[in-house]
Amino acid sequence: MIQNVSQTQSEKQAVLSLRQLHLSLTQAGQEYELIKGIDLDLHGGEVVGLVGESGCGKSLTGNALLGLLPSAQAHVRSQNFLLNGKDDLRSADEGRWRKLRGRHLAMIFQEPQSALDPVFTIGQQMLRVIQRHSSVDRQRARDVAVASLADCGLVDSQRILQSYPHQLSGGMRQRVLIAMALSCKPEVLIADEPTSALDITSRDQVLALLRHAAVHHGIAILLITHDLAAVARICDRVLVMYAGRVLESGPAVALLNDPLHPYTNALLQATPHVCSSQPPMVKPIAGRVQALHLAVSGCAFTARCPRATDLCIRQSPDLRAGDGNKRHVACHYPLADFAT
Amino acid sequence: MSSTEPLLELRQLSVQHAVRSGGSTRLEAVRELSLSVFPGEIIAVVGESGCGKSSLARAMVGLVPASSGEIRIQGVPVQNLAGKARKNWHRQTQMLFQDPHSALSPRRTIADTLAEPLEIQEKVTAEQQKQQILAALSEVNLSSDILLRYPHQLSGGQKQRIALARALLCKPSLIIADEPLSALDVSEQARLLNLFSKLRSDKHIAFVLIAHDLAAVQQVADRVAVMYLGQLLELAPAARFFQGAAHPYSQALLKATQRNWQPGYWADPKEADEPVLKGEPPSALTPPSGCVFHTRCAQRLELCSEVVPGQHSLVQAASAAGAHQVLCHLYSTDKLPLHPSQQEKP
Repeated sequence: MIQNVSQTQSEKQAVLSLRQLHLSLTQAGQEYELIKGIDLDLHGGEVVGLVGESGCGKSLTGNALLGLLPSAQAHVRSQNFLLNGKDDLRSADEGRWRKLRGRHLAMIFQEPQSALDPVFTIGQQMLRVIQRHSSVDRQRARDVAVASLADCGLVDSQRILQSYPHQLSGGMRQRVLIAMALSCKPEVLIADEPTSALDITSRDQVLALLRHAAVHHGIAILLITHDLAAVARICDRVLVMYAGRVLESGPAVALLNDPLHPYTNALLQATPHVCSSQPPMVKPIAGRVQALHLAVSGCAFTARCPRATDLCIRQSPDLRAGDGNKRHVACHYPLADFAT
Repeated sequence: MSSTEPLLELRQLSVQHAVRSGGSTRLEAVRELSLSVFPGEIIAVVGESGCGKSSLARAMVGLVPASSGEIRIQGVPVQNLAGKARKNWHRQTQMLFQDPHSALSPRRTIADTLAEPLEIQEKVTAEQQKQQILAALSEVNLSSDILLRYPHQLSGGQKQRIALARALLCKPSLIIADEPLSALDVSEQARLLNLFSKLRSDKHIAFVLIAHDLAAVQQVADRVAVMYLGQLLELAPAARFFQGAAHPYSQALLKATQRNWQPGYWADPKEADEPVLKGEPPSALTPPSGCVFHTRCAQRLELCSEVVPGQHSLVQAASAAGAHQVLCHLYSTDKLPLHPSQQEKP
C-alpha cells in the first residue's frame, strides 16, 4: 500500500528535474569544486525549501538552475537537467536561457531594492517584462500587470504602477517583484532568501503569497533560506545543504519534527521558537562553516559534529534513502534508524 | 530585575525629523513616549519597519535630539549634563548597529579599532590596554589571532562580536542594540543572544534590544515594548507578554512570528496562504485619527477611529518594571460597541 503511494508520487512528472549537479570554478588556473552532486526534483504546486548557513552553496545552486553563472569561470555539469520532462537544459546557450528566464523559470532575490531599476517606474518595468515574453499590446500588458499586482495583494495598482521603487516599502517592493515574476506564468520560481531583508509582518505576507502562488497557480517553488521558521510555514519538502552537498532531505513535517542528520538537528537547536512559557536557550553551532572550495575526504560536518568518529574523517557518507524512499540522509550515524 | 532607580528614563519623549513631502515638513518618528530602563534588564523594543524604533534608539544615545519631552540619565535630564558628566553618559551608554560591517572602519585592524575607545576614555599604559583588549575579546568568545586582521576578513557574526567587544571596553551600564541580529545567520544569532544573556547576569549590563523577531526576543528579554507609528502600544514583563499579549497588534506580531511551528509540532502549510496583517502601516506623516492601529485592527470598536485610547494598566504591579500597560480601548472598563463592520449580520 505504502509502496503504491510512493510509486505514484515518483511517477508524477517533475517540472524541473536535476541529477548530479556539479559546479566548479576556475580561479588562477586552479579548479575548485563547489557543488558536489545535487539531485533535485521540483513539482508543480509544491514548495521545496533549500536550507543551510551562509556559504553552503545554496544560492550558487539557485543561480545554476537559471543559468546565471558566468560560463567563462563556472563549469556546470549534470547527468540530467530536464524542464517539463523533455527540454534538456544542459546544453542551453545564453540565447536559449534568455528565452527561458522569466517565461518558464523566474527568480526573486534577497534585496528587492537592487532587483528594481531606480530610474524607471514599476509600470515601465513590469510592462517591459510582460511584453518581452508575450506578443500583447500595451493596454493588454497593463491589464496583465494590474491583475498580477492584485493577485499579490497590491490592490492600489494604479498608484503602484506609477511609483518609483524608492517610493515603496521593502515588503511592497518584494511583492511587486513576485507579481512581476508571476505575470509571465512561469512553471518554476526560485526565491533566494526573499524574506531576510524584511520585517516580521512583511515576511509573513511574502510567505503567504508564495504559498498562494504554489497552491492556486500550480507553480513549483524553490525557497532558498536559512530561516527554518519560514520553511515550517510554507514548505512541503526540505533539502538541507552543507559545503556543497545535500546532507538530508525529506518531507518538511518529518524533517523538522524528527531530524536524522546531526547538522539538521543543530540548525533546529539554534533556531528560537515562540512559546507560552520560557523556551530553552538556543544553542549556537560550534565552529564555522566549512569553506566551499576546500576538498575534504570525509564528511564536511565532522569538525562541528558531536557524533563524529574516525570513520567520518576517512569516508564521506553517501546519501541513503529510507522511509519508503521519502527521506534521505548522508550520515554514518543518523539520529534515528530509518527503514530502507 | 531590579526595582531601583532607572538607568535611563524617557518622559513624554518626541523625536521629529525634517522631511519634504507634500505639505507636511515634520515627521514625528517618536510620539510622547515614556519608558524606563532599569539596571541589568534586557528590554526588547519590537515593531515593523518605520515604527520609529531606530529613532528611539538614536535618541537614547544622543545621536538625534529630542523635539520635546525629556531623557534622564540616572535621574538627571541630559540637557543638564555637561563636561565630565556628559562624557560619562556617552561612555556608559553604548550602541550596536544592524550592519556590523559599516560599524567598523575598513582601514583599521581589529587591534586599532579596539584600542580607540581606550585612548579616548582613559589614560592607560600600553600593557594595560593590551590586557583589557584581550579580556574583552575573550568576553565575546574570540581569540587574539583576530587582532591583526581587517573587518573584510571576518564573518558577519565575528564583526558583530568585535563591535560588542568595542562597546564592552567602555565598561557600559547600558547597551542599545539596534537590530543586531537581522544581518546574521541563525547560528551567529544564537551566539549573540547567549552573549547578551551572559553579560546581563555576569556584568549586570542593561540592554535595549531593538528587534522584530519575537522568537529571538523571548530568548533573552525581561520586558517587551511594542511600538507602532511612534507610540508604545504595549509594555509588559516578557513572561506575561508571551503567555497572553493584550494588544491586537501584539497578538498579530506573535502570530506572524511562528505560524505552524512549535517544537515537535508542525501543522499542514496548506492553510497558511493568508497573511496575519494585510497592507502596510499608514504613513507617519499622516497618522490615522483615534487609535493609530485602527486601520488594520481586526477587533476595532466604533470609537477607535475617533477617540485616542488611554493607557490601561492590566496588573497591580509593585514596581514600574512589573507593570503591564496597554494603549487600547478594548481594556477600558466601560462596555463598548463593536465597529459596525464587525457586528454579526442578523
